Amino acid sequence: MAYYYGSASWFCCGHAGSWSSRCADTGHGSCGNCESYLDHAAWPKLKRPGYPDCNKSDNCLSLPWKYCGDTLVVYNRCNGQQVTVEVHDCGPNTNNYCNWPCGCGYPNCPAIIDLTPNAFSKIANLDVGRIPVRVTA
Amino acid sequence: MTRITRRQFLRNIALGSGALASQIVFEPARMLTGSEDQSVGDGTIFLEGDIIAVDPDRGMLVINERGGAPVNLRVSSSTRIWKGEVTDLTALELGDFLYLRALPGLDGTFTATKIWANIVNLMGTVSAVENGGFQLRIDGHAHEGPERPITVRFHPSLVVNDNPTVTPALRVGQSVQVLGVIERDGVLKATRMWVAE
Repeated sequence: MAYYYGSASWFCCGHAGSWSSRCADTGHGSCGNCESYLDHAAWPKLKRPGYPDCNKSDNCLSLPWKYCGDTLVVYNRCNGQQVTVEVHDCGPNTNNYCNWPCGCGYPNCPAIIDLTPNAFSKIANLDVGRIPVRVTA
Repeated sequence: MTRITRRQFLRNIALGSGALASQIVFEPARMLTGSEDQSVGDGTIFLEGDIIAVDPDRGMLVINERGGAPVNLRVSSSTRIWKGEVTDLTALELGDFLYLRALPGLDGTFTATKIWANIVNLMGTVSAVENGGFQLRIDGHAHEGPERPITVRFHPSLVVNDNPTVTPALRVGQSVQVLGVIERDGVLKATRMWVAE
């Protein structure tokens, strides 16, 4: 187990081609079973048996590879709340916001994880959009 | 209070235990499939759906939760409601899409604790800069799906990079994250933006 620091946001499982304002109408992510109403997440380095690896953290952070279904603990560094999530999609792109400061009050630092609306809303308000987190992976 | 899961609660509804006294005829809630939802520490569960009835005077609304099953919700003065800004039940309309957290009661009802109406959170690239906004091409996650531009306009309370005093200075090709409220005409009113280097 190790700690990784960055920011977390929320997303709808799926991809741009299926974009909708309703998460329930989008896809099910890289692993095929991502659901917005469950404690699921997207991680930037994902291995999927039978499919090419997905790596969205090329230039910014050194993150470990995860497989579909792996468990992570996401801790909100501002309010101390945490949620345990399963990885079921690939993303976000960590390259944006490289070298920006990270911590409570500085959430626009490298994005290391996207949470479903269910998981994100357990540790922050959705309208905040982005929070500084510590991920135990 | 006794903590029950979302599946258990919706099962209770399906079995007919409790419904808000209402003139609206409710159908049994659909059973959840797949893995069990987890309750957060405060006992709330997550729901999403379109508003199919709203009554500010009685402090109630009804959504068709995923799959179309109606779910009754009580809304109190302590319910936090967001629709571009923190507001109250009178701002919600039929057809609004909600994400919400709600506390299940043993009588078969939900009490909403937090509601977000028509909220979206998108990551993408600026494809055109316009007066009072821009065009956004959305990025996907694992896949690069077809690009679909979204018209973004700045909400009066827009906060950029967590600094309320910053005015967005955008250029074509810039990576941005945009959070806001999607309006009926498909325009996204941005309330928060993060603009990459």
